[in-house]
Amino acid sequence: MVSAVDCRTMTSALSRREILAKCAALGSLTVAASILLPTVLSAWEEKEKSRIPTPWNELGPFYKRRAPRTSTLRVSGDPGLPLTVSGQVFDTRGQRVPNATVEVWQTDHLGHYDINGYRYRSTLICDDSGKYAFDSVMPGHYPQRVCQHIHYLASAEGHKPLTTQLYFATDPVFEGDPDKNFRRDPLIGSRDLVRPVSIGGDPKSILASVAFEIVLERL
Amino acid sequence: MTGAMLAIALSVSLTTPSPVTSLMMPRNAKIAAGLCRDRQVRVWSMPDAKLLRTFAVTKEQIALTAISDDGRWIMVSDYRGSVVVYDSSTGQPQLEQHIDHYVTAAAFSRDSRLLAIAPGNERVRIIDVAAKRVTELEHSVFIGALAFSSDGKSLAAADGDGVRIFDTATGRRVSRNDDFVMSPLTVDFTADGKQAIAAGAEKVVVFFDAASGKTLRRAVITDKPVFYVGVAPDSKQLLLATFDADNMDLPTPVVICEVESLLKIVQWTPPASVVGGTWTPDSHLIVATADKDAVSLWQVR
Repeated sequence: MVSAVDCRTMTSALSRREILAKCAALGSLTVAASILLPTVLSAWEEKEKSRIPTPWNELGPFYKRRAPRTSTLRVSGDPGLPLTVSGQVFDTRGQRVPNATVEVWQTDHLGHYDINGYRYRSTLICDDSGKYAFDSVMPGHYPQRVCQHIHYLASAEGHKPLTTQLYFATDPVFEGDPDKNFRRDPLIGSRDLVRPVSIGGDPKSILASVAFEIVLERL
Repeated sequence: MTGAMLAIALSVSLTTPSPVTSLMMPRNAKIAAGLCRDRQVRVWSMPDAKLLRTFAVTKEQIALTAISDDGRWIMVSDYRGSVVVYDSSTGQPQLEQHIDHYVTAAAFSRDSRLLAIAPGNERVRIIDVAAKRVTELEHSVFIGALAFSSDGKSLAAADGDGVRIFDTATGRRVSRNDDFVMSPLTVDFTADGKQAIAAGAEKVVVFFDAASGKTLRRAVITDKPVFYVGVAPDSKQLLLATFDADNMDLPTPVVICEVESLLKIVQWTPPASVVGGTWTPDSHLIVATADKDAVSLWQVR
């Protein structure tokens, strides 16, 4: 007798392509005579890996070029909730985009942008697998904008540059229900930009963390 | 020089049952159109401040409004991507577009024939309002401000890196100036169209040659970030409307300087935040402030 666990082990031993080829051979998958099976399998795989581009959000009035290349936006003693943001940059075919440039800027915990210097601003270069991360603080609220947010400008050779903004599911504006309330900030055109927040550390030193994946369109 | 030393007069008061969030004034100064909290546009004749008509617009949150220089067209766009141009004399829609995102910048040409809109991260569109014909500009995304030259042949588009000048007939880029560290938020042309002037949160005002993109002058005229620059019809005066980066609701100075010398002629802090204004044809500046019951129009110069 084969247990459910064993079933999963057996199927994972075969690649997606091998499974589909087997389905075609056994008649579970019917392919039009005019199309070659390998072509169909490649297209199927492409579709399964494909990703929706990260929704656009506007640049805003406080973008500043030439931000320093640092992943440490929060320095020792900074007030506010410590926050780590990490993610990976992909293209719409699901392939990692190595060495993409991700510029981020945000307010301090009280909702003030530094327009004279470069506090809470950074230019991040993704690693070979498209990963990025930075340490910061939870941005504050300020007049004219409803929600806490971090601005992004992501670019990579051969891809369409993207401006967007990251929002936090814990924002009090959402009253615990971002699905229902995300449009309270009219600039949030997509629920996908509101990300869950994980809290770790210990009660004396808690740390919030957020994952934000970015998907760029190819040119 | 301070406002107290100048003849700044309250010229007109427009009463309204719903607070005005944005007052649109055409350069001919014959009407004023207020977008009100109740999602109605109220149109007053000027200078007698008589309410001419009221018409309803979108129920969604408004992203941007604009009015043509002759006062005929009023554009209202919302955050759901609706863009509607109304005929101010009837309140009827003349043109409706739907875009994927929302408009981040808009401008009418001086002859009121063309409307340029920046639809989110899509390319800028120039729309012939009467003919409803659309031209797209190349390489024009992340736009924060748009302005036509007086003859309508050029369009300036401010983006994250600087300002690009386009030929409106072909949609092709003519020049580019990226002499900014922070993204410019506003742009205008001198009356002869030879120079463009741009500014933003970094407080520096950049004058550049529209044909080549080469910087001609850079100057810090005010210690506040600038959200609007506008050249007077006489081409001798330049308006800088400023904002407070920490609280954009706070009233901040309106500055007029001489284009030639960059000397300040006026620096005046209005009693409330500015909701609109315009240069009149004879180069007087009208600035609008609002409270919940009325809009006050100030002749600043």
